[in-house]
Amino acid sequence: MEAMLAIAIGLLSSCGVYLMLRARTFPVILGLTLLSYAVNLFLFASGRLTINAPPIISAEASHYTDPIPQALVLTAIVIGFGMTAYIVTLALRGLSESGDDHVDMAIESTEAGKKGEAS
Amino acid sequence: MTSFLVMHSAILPVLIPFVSSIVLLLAAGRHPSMQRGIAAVSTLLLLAASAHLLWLTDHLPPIAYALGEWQPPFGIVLVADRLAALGVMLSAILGAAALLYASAGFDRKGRHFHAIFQLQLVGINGAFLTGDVFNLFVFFEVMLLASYILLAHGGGLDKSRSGFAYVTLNLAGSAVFLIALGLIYGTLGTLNLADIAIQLQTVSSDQAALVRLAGALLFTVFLLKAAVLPLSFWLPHAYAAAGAPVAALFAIMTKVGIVALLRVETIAFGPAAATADLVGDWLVIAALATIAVAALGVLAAKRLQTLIAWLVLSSAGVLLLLAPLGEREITAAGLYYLVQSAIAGAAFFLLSGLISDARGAAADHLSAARSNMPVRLKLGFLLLAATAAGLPPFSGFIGKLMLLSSVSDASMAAAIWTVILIAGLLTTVALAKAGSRLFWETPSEAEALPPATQTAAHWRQTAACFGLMTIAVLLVVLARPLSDFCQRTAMQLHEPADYIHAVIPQPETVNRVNRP
Repeated sequence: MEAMLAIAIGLLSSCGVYLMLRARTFPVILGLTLLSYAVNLFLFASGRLTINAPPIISAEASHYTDPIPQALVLTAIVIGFGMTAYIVTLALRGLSESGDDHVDMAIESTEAGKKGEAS
Repeated sequence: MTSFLVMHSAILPVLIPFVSSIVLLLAAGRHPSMQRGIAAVSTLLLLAASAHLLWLTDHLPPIAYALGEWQPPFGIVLVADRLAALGVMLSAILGAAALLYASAGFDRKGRHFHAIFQLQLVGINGAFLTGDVFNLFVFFEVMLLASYILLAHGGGLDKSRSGFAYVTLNLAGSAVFLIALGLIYGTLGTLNLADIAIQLQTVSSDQAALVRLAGALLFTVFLLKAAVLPLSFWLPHAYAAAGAPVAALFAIMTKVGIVALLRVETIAFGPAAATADLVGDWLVIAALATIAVAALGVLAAKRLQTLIAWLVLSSAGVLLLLAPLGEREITAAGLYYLVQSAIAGAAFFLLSGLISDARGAAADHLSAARSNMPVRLKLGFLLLAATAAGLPPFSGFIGKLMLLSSVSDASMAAAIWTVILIAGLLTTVALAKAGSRLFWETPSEAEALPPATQTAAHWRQTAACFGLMTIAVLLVVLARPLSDFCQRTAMQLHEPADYIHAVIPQPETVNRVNRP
């Protein structure tokens, strides 16, 4: 199971990094999302992988899984969700203001400048 | 009542802006003067609470505040020592000035300016006060999320574009931060900073490599926040695009990264054998490169606000020398430099806003424009330019002098002196050029842009800007007490045992379970 999880994290982060280096906003946001999935899985694994064990003390349980990483992952998911929502709105605003979805600032500024001169 | 205040003094700088930001969210639709009133009351309370905390920490050992009485290392803990109190005080002063400036009309450009502004203060103060690396992450995120919104406040293509790059970069930084935290928890089994320091002393050799990797990743994130080369290219874009009061508050955000780096290094990673050599000469080189590039950026800037953003970057480079050199005298000198550069930088951003308003369509572009600039703006520019360039008798000079004389015994002293002094010269040249362009050059009739329609700045803007300038001058007059305080802060910082003892008084009684 460790190997499977490691491969999944590796695959997710490599796809995420590749997409983040693209020139348009949508792939960049997708890349960020994939990277945050990878990070959440990694964080989860930092408490060791335990199967069929409760995180809360109970009378029947003989062994436990570590509850802290679960709480950390939950926090990270909430923060990541808020950030993704914000960056999507920012990207949409940039798209509606400039008419294209390039990430690069320099190209966009000159293009916007040209548009401004033309109109 | 007094004992209650003393007991909870560590959490007040986080709690006050947090409560008021919630109240402000509810009052979003109300009259602006009511929102301004709530924000002003909250900021004044924050100033009082910060001053109280500063006084307390100067007379007491570090104060550990366990939320919900969960005893460390298991619960969430805030720790107020002199460094944290100094940072909180600084953010309260800058926050008050920026808020006063914004209350002249900038806050009306969006619905939730005041709520987000208070949230920004929550994040900054929390990042200074937290005693737990995961909460450091959370407060960083609160700070950044608020800063994203403040950066975009006022709208405009420039802002959403530089905003996108800034957010993407910081989200990638957050991912790296979380990986570092996962590694720390996976190897040491704790995220409490004091407990990390204890666990690092006894880390087994097969775990050492992973811990070193975690430390390296953590420092990378702090260096991204502190904008050290090569992770610094976002800063001039973002700071130049922000509105003047927002940029003034941002002047402290690079300092948060530096303080976090300093704290984690001096308390946990520096004293441990396995990770002692993580921060070393490479950081000195990176810091010097940052200073050099920032000096060139100052020379090349086409707008006053971009120029100031490069100045902020330059001061961040100087401050990064503190962590690797790691001596008490240097830390003390650096802390004085931190205070003065934050205040002067923020005042400069506000002044740039005033100058920009007075020049009409030419704004803060370093080109000729017709304007009837009040004399006080010119004098203000002279004062701040001299401070930023480190000319006597202003606080920038004292800060630089203390820093240079304290590093004279360090291993790379020659390189540090050369780079800082040449950068200072270039900065002087650039600022002289900028000043003569802004104030003296008159345009030919053909290329003149329309002058400002509204001439007089609002009294709040002027008061905020010149209030900060007065503090910058006071830093010269009160250099002795402040540098004494910085000495005591540095002493405390280099005695991590006190910090650890305050958080975990009896480490041997902590009940730990062996993990697979």
